[in-house]
Amino acid sequence: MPALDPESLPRHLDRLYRAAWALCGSPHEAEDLVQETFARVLARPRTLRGQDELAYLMTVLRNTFLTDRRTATRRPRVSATTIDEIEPVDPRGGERPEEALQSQEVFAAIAGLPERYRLALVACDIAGLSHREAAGILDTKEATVATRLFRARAFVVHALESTSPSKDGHAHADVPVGEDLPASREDEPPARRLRSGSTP
Amino acid sequence: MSREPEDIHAALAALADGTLPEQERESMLARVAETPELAAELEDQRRAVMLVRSLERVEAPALLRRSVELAAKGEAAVGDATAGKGANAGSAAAPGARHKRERASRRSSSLRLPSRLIAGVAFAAAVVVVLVLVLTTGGSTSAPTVLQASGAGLRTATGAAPAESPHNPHLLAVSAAGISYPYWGGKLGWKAVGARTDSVGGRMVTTVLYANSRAQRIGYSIVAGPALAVPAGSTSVERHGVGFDVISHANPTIVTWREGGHTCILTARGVGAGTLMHLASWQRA
Repeated sequence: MPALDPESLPRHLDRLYRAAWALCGSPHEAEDLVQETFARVLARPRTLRGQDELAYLMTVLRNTFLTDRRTATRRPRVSATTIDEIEPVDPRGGERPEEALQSQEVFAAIAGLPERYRLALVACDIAGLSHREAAGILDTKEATVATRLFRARAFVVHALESTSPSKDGHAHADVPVGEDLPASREDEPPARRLRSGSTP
Repeated sequence: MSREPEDIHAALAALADGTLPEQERESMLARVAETPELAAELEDQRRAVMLVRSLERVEAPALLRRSVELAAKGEAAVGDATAGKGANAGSAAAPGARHKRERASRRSSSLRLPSRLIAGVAFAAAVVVVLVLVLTTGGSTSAPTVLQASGAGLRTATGAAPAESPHNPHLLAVSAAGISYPYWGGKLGWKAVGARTDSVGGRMVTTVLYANSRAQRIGYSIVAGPALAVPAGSTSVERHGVGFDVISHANPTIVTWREGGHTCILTARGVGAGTLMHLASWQRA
């Protein structure tokens, strides 16, 4: 089985950082999570067991995130984003202020998803893994990943549609986010009744 | 053939991101064309995919990148970026190409350790190594930069949290270079949670780490030896008679000042320079 090449890992950094930000809801906590992830991976030689490097790193990132969540040291914190709260994402990134604002709103909307939906969306749409790879990481069925992805995206679009400019020109989220769903209902829509919920 | 709503949702999700198998694609598109509700849902899916993909313009911060790149090369532990290559003076430089397994093994020795006991031993060992280096070399002839020294404030603690001073309620029972660390608990809300000692560019950097109830952290570092030069481009601010220099306003925030002829540095992520200067000067208010 192929060994993980440490020197090839930095090429996945941007993707992992975005995934971490979406999971944590904070760029600062994302930095900590990514540092911790790389520290774990680089602590000893690693063997890839049928996964590619990115899938392997995402597995460690997810496990690190969940471990930290269990110890209550890292929670998603979602709040209305205002211009005043915008901090430079990265001077090298060259993001314009409005792009930075939009990015923060999208990250906030994702961070407001219940965990299992958030993990599916982060694995597929941010990390770029296939549904099958995501299913492997999340220890669930491929079809379940696709269903969670559907609901996660519907929630994100709805949350962002509900974020409207106010009189002061700042964006304020006016829908509650971060509420968990009933654990027993995979088909429960996260934020609203889905249009095709009764479609045969 | 009718499908369960969950199957339809899964198919719509796959259709939107282009992963639906070709043989299912046509039939699903035909179904969407017949059903306005499905068409609207597919549109939502596509919009979400587009929005999330727009995040690809967000890149990792430069300091994090440097930290990871150095660690991947086996030149530093993750998190050492701002401390540079001089942060781990006790570790030998890699003499040319070595087997990757050896490099990974060497890395493991410099990464953070889980056990409090091991951390305590490591802290004590680090102090010994630093003292030996300082005593035997008399310190480096090239002083580190404030930015390099500030890296210690972002790293994890290797020693136990210092206790409060039994003699002064405003201080902790620990000092470095003759400067006592402040007690920021109580109404200030920043509790000392650990300590560490590093050698950066041959200088001993002693750091006490504070945390608040939101798990934000501040590193208070004191650099032994003569004060370091303040980097060009920093912002000078005076508070209660003390001249502060804000080296970086965010990501991380770095504030430095001189006390007793030494350089003191506060480093934090997610904490503003105003808060850092307020904490640094509150006893003088």
